[in-house]
Amino acid sequence: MNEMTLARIETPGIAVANAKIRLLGIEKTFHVRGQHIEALYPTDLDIRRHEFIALVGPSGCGKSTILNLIAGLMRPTAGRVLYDGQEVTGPNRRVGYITQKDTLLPWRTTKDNIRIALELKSHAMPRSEANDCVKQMIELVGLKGFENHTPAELSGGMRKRAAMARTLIYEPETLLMDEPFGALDSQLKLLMLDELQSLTQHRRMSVVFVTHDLGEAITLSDRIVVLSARPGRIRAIHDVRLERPRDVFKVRFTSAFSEQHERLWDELKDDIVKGTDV
Amino acid sequence: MADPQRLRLTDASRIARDDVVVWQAAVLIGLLAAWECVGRFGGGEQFSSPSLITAKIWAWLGGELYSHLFTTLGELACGMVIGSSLGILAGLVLGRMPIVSVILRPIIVGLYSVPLVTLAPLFIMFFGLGLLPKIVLVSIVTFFLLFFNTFTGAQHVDEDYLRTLDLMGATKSEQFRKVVAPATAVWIAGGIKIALPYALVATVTGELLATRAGLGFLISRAAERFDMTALYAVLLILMVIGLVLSEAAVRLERRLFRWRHAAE
Repeated sequence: MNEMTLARIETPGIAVANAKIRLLGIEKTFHVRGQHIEALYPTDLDIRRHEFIALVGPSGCGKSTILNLIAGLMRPTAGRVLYDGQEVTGPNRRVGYITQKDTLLPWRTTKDNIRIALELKSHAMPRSEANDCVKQMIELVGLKGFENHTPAELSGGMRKRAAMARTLIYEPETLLMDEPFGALDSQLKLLMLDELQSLTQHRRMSVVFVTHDLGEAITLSDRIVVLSARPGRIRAIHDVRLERPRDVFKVRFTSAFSEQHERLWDELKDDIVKGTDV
Repeated sequence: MADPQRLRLTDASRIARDDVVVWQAAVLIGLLAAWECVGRFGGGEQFSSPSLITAKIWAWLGGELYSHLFTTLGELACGMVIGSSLGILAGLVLGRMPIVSVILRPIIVGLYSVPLVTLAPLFIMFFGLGLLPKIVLVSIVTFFLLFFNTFTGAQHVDEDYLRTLDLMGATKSEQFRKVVAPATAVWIAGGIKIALPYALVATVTGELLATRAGLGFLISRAAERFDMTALYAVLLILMVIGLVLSEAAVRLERRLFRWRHAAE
């Protein structure tokens, strides 16, 4: 039985109509210095509307590639990406993308960086209203007191939070996140997970979330996609059978959580033992 | 935690800086005194002397100097404005449009290889003896310096910034205003800083050749009359203008680009 059929079996009954994002046989090969590097094997995946889905797997298994393909920043070598039934052929303006690199504009202060989307015609908002939103976001991500700092004056974790606030503020219907919490200390991470959960549920966002942290994935996701080492392919898709919304501070101490964690770990450990991740 | 060694170093350099100022003043006064002695007792008229020069400038401040000063500064300002506008425009267009750049950039580089001040006689033939030839000369000098700086800046805009804005739904013009323009502004300011002294040279050179007004005219008139005092006086004034302009540019830049200095 190959991985693809396994994926299909584990996610029965998805009505195609309910799929927000469909990856149809997408494949990606990079050419680096005359070498072909296969990043992604032909992969199928349906992401449902309002679903919170996590992609986990060892480094270099094509997790970020999948996000770039959905965002339309890359074209697949073969296969198609459908978003709301339409093929993605260029930058996909329906998604908010929080990349690993924070891309804050160095000449803007924290609050001006966070406000930038609201200055655009596509999300235009009266200035006073925008300022209120910015203020709220800044409190939400814990950057109060740093409104007028430039990115160079912020720590790595602060920049990450500013970048997240900048994307959340315009409430994109789909959120792509590439290891957004990597640089945060564990206390702050929990707070942010909590905020992210309530924000995305409140605003009925669909979320595709790349992470190394299995705990993070279980805490937030409806489903977890386990990818194998390069070239990436779907090894399995796990449904997280925990009632949502979850108490991010306590859910990790429940037995359901540990069972889920163990099953995921079993799935992943072979690849990680191969040493791809250190 | 402050590094004690670094602390000591900053202390040391602060003390040294005070000393340095004292020594510089001493050297300057010594030189002026020596010049004054040579001018009064030893040398010929070509040495003039600091006291004569001061008297000359004082007399000029009574009237004649202003129109010449304004002529020179006016030419400089007009030339800078025209030249840098065109230079920035060309730099942005070529920097953001690789195809246009492939065609036009070698031509611009080729033109820049001409020593620009040697064009002054040509412009005088074209545009007469008024302000125009100098403004054109200054414009051209400024154009090239601003072009090269803006071009480099526009080419090096981080594509990830543009992609981020693109996904947010920014139009091309919004991407330009919010990313390309501010990212290039630093390079443009640098270009203006570099261009100012060159523009001053170009203005005065133009005035030396086509003489009716301006500080360059004062120099060539003084030279014709063998009036060394007047000659030195103009040079001193030019030195002061040069210093004031470059200091102003440095301060303005530091103010406008606080974020950049924070990063360093």
